Amino acid sequence: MKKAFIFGFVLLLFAALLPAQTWLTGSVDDALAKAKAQGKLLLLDFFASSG
Amino acid sequence: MLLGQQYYDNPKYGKFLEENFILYRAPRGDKTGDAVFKRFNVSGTPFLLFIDGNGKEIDWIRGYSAPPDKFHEKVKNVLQGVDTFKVLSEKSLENPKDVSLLAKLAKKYSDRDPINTEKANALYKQIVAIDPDGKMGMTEYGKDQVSCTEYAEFSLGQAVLYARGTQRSPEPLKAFIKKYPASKILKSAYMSLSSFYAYAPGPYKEEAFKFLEEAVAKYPDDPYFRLYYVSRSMNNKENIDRGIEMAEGMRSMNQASIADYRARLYQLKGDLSQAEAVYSQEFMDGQVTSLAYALSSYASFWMGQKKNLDSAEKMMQTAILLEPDNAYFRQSAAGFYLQAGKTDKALEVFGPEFIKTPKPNASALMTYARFWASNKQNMESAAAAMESALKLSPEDAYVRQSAAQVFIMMEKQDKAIEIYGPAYIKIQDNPLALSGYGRFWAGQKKNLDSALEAAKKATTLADQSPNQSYLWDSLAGVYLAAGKLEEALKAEEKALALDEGFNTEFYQTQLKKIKDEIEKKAKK
Repeated sequence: MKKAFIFGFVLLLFAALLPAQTWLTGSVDDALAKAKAQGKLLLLDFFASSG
Repeated sequence: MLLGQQYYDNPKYGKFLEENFILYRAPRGDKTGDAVFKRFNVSGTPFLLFIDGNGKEIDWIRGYSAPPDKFHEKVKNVLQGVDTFKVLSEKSLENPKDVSLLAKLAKKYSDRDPINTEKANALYKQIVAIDPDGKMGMTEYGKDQVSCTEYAEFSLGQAVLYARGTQRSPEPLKAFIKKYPASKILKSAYMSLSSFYAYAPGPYKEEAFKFLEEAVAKYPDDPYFRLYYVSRSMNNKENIDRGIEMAEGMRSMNQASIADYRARLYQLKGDLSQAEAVYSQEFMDGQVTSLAYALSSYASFWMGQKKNLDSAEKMMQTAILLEPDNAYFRQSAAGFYLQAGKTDKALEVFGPEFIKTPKPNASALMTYARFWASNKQNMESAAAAMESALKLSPEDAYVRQSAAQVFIMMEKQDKAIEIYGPAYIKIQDNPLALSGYGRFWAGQKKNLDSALEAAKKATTLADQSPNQSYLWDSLAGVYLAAGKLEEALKAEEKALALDEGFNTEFYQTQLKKIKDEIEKKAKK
């Protein structure tokens, strides 16, 4: 019982540490094609690690 | 970084983003990321661009400020089509005289590209023409509402104040201050003009102090106006006693203490995200950089006096410890050691090791190359650094011009021509880049045929450019350097004719210089 509880807690913790979203990198054209196919907007995040 | 920590990494918004958008990330400094920056002509970060499946730009958000909930509203608005670029563009076609709509669209354009504001400026001019008395609509300015015309005149004044080359002028913004003495934008106008006068060279000498005094008198509690006065005083070595008085009045300014108080007050209000925004890692990074500048300036000052040198060296080294990857501080330290006759120490802080690991960017490499080339030492490494900078930014006109400058300093003119010579102008069709090429070689009094070809080509490409008079003035300068005085005269007259009244005095001085040369030649 105790083991199962710890396992569940670890799973929860692992889920919390996962990135909040999936960000594509690589070809923008592939990302655009995906946006078109799914009827969504493509959000491009331009960022610099220093700021 | 703050955007990532407070918004993207917050599970509260993650699901919404995932469900509603295809998410793509372009990091600066990464090969693919840099290509995406270039493709979409994006410069500053953070910047969010929203595109539909056909590649059409729907909207964008520049910058991030807490709280994240407020930022989330902006993202939701994009999804719902509230005042997006696409919607505003379509509406403005249906209602071409709606000044509030035009002001919103103009702001969108200048947000998209804050440097090239031609599209925004065209709309602001349209607003002033439609509603000269400012009665037909209001627009947001911070938390206030101002008339669209007032905002448009302010923005046009700013554009001229920050224009390139001889197009720069303080006059439109000064006229704005006169016309709108009770404006809610007044302080911003004073701030922009004070910053301009603090650092603008020569021709504004007389009016600069007059304006800066006026600004300090108007805003006596704001230390920044005093700071601008002090900067001008130091740059021009004038009004020193008054400058000292102004500096004494700035004693209370300590940004870190102010930030600390603000953060504590926000915490008391229960608004920790705002506390984080004003007292963040970025803010402290800025404090560290400011301290490094202060230490480096201290060292340079005492090196100039040849006094307190042990203390100066210690502070210089502390600056490098604080900012180890910053080429500016390493360059300052190397200059310090060269002045002290310690070349080995200069190479230790800013030698070949610096350009190896971690790999610096093009700007740092250029700083390194220019430093050593101008000191005529460590030339092989300087040349290697310049080559690396060129590889990193092969199409950047500024990098090419810097490379030419470095190789000329190294007395390698052939190499300079190879990088920034006739072959370069064949592929270049940006009038300002061509004009810059002409000015550069005219200044060197070398490669003048090609300089003329470029400067002429620039004028032919610029029928609609707001920089026309600047381009003709450049051409006149190249003709003058080439000894073609009659052609120089005609080109300068053309610059004067195209001038919109902002640089009349400057072009007249240039014209007189050319006429004097013609007279001198006739006497011979």
